[in-house]
Amino acid sequence: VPIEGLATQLRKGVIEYCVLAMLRDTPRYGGELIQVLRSQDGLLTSEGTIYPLLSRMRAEGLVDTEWREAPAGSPRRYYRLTKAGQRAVVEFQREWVRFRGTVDGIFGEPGGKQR
Amino acid sequence: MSAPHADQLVHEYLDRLDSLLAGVPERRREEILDEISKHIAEQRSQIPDESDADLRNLLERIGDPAEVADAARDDGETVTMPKPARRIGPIEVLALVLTPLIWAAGVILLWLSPAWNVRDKLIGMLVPPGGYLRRRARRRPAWRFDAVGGPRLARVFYMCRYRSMARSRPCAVAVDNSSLSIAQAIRSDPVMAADAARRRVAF
Repeated sequence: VPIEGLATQLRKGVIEYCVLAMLRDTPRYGGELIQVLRSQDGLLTSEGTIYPLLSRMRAEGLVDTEWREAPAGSPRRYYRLTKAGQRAVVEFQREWVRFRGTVDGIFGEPGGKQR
Repeated sequence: MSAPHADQLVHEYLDRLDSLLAGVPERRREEILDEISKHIAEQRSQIPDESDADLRNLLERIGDPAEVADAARDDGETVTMPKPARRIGPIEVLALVLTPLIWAAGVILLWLSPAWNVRDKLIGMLVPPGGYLRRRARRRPAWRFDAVGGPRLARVFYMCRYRSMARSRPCAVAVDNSSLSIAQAIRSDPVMAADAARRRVAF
């Protein structure tokens, strides 16, 4: 598997949950999420794709939105986790830790499961 | 760069995105366009002396409209051509009527298959317990059915669902093949990539 395609696959699999996790403690607006993700290597290549993602997660009931005034310009849509969103984060985390442990174990990384 | 020129670049970008979002439900389409146009406005307001290159850079970072639109097509459910009324056609009714005969195998396949959403699966699973009980009453184990040959229900469901999927996401079926072809497809086809993401093939 070419490494470039692999990175895309991995990113697409986790980005949704990373965004949900970023909303765990506080509601955020899209630009804010982009700003944080920008500093996370390789997580978000096309920044605009966060909006379809947020919109879909809203349609799925994982997040809901509220309007808040911005210091300047038009009001912003703030996204916050719903109960279902919180559950999704917890489930993902459990799954992810297990998955990571398995892979690390196979690769002989410290922290990986020894079999 | 003159302001009208800059505005026109932004307009063209949003127009292109708008037309590429065709087929996405109206509410989501408006939401995405609204958010992205606001994002552009906000980012532009933070550039003190905006040049042509600045704006192009900004739009490039946001991404090709096609890529953004593909992300909106991430799940088959939101990108349906007509309303889902066709899902409850005569074939589906027939499927539900047949389910009691093959409950166990039907349910297993139902939940194994990526072709249905949770709603379909719940319906498929919950409707037929009557049939399961009847099997038991006849002392014939309900799970002994040929999974490879495919129970009638599953086949009928496969047919309806794949037909509707084929219309909205031509590549959907190919995703199940192998990780190699997934990676290849992802590189060549953003729709496929979105679909792969939806199925969490990364795991």
